[in-house]
Amino acid sequence: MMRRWISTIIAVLVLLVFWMILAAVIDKPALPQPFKAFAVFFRELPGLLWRHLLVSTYRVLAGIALAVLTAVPFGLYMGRNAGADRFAAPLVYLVYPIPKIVLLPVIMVLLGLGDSAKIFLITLVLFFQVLIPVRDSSRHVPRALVDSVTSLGAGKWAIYRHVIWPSVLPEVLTALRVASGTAIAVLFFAETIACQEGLGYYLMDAWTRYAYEEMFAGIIAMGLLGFAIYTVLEFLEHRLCAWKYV
Amino acid sequence: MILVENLKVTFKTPSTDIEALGGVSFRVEAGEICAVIGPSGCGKSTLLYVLAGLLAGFEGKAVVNGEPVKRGRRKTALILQDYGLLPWRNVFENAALGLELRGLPRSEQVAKVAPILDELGLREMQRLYPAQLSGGQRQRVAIARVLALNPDLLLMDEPFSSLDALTRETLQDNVLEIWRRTGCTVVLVTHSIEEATFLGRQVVVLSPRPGQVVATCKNAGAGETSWRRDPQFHKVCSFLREQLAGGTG
Ligand SMILES: Nc1ncnc2c1ncn2[C@@H]1O[C@H](COP(=O)(O)OP(=O)(O)OP(=O)(O)O)[C@@H](O)[C@H]1O
Ligand SMILES: [Mg+2]
Repeated sequence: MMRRWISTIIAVLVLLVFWMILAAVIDKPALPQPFKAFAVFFRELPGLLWRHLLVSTYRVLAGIALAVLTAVPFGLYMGRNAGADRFAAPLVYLVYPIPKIVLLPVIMVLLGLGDSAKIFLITLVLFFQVLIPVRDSSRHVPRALVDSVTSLGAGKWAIYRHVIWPSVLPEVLTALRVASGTAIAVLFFAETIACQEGLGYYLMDAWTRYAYEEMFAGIIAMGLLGFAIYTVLEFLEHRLCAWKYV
Repeated sequence: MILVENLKVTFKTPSTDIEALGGVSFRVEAGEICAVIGPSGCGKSTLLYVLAGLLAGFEGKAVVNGEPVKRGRRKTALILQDYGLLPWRNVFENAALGLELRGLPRSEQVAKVAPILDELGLREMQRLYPAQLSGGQRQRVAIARVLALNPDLLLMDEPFSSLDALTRETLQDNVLEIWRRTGCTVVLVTHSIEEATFLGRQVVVLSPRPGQVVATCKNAGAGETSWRRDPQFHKVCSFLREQLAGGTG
């Protein structure tokens, strides 16, 4: 654990040094020195920035939660029922490659300009990124494992609960870890359109005012949000999938 | 206890139909140990799946304890070669799984499972995950798990084939002890002639696919640990080897 902290700190320092050098070389207001950006970050954090950060955090977490709650049951069902999969797979593969962001106008018309449209967009993007690994890994649970637990008296539900779900859980967490970056990128985009709250708005607003130091304070906040989600997911993985790390 | 009559199993695949069992008949009296031996792919596992009630599409008769086989018979226990254990459950949780599925509270699970783990020498390993165990220990957990359910029929599919010779013999001795103590009926599928001879008081020899019974041998010497060192033991092995070769030729 100690070593992990040390390596994280070293990684951050390397990034900061790289940033400093780059800023010195470029020497334009568009890329301020990190200490300036951090000064603004800490000045703004107790006030407005904190509020925007909270709003964005809420949207991302709600989107992730909804995506997991919907994609996992669907994925499990598709993975374990060849008939359902034959029907649903073409649909999934048709919709999966569409960049969901292009649906934002439609979503906004339907759900309005508030939180729900943004949350829905994140859910939509993550849904597929969770659905497909869940489906694939639940399909590949060894048959002998299912059979031997069935012979112990497990019914259909018990098999899902004791065999399929635990073997899929690591995949879910990995998929979420990969997708959390996408989620924040999507959120940024959604928050820049007809929006007065959230890190995306904060960033774009600073940008249009050429307030580059504020803009980078927003970028720092966004990076920290992503890092926090990533850390929580990794913690959950070590906690819930302890058997993988013995 | 077990009555199998003219059992046929055909797997339908997109390209062809695979006849796995081509009319198998034999019976096993209650409280006996029967070993089933035959070449690879002759349908031994398929036969066990039918007896365990996990495979429904078969022709002929398969009766356990006077009733046609069915899914979820509570007194039938199945042990497979691998995969039996859930990797995310520790030894105790794996051993108690059947009881948990039956809704027993934790305290009763402990009361039932603890002595069985003791008996099989797994007490110190209760908190370890399957990945932390040796092959022999894992198979012992699989045995503990079904013993907790007080089965009257124990079905085993090549349970010890991936183990080294010494571990295998210890586990075979364990099976004998359990058999003698509980008086349950045992059907053991194996491709080892020595294992069939050592454990099977009755040995059913199957032909190559589609499996049919080549011979059913009484083997009264089996059932004692000393049988392995009996001069007769090797005679029975040779006899079975001839039967298997005859079936192949
Ligand atoms: N689900 C299935 N679908 C199609 N064919 C199958 C299926 N299960 C088994 N078979 C076929 O049935 C035959 C018998 O299989 P089975 O597993 O019962 O053999 P076995 O005697 O246990 O072999 P081994 O000693 O190698 O374990 C094999 O030819 C196999 O290919
Ligand atoms: Mg087999």
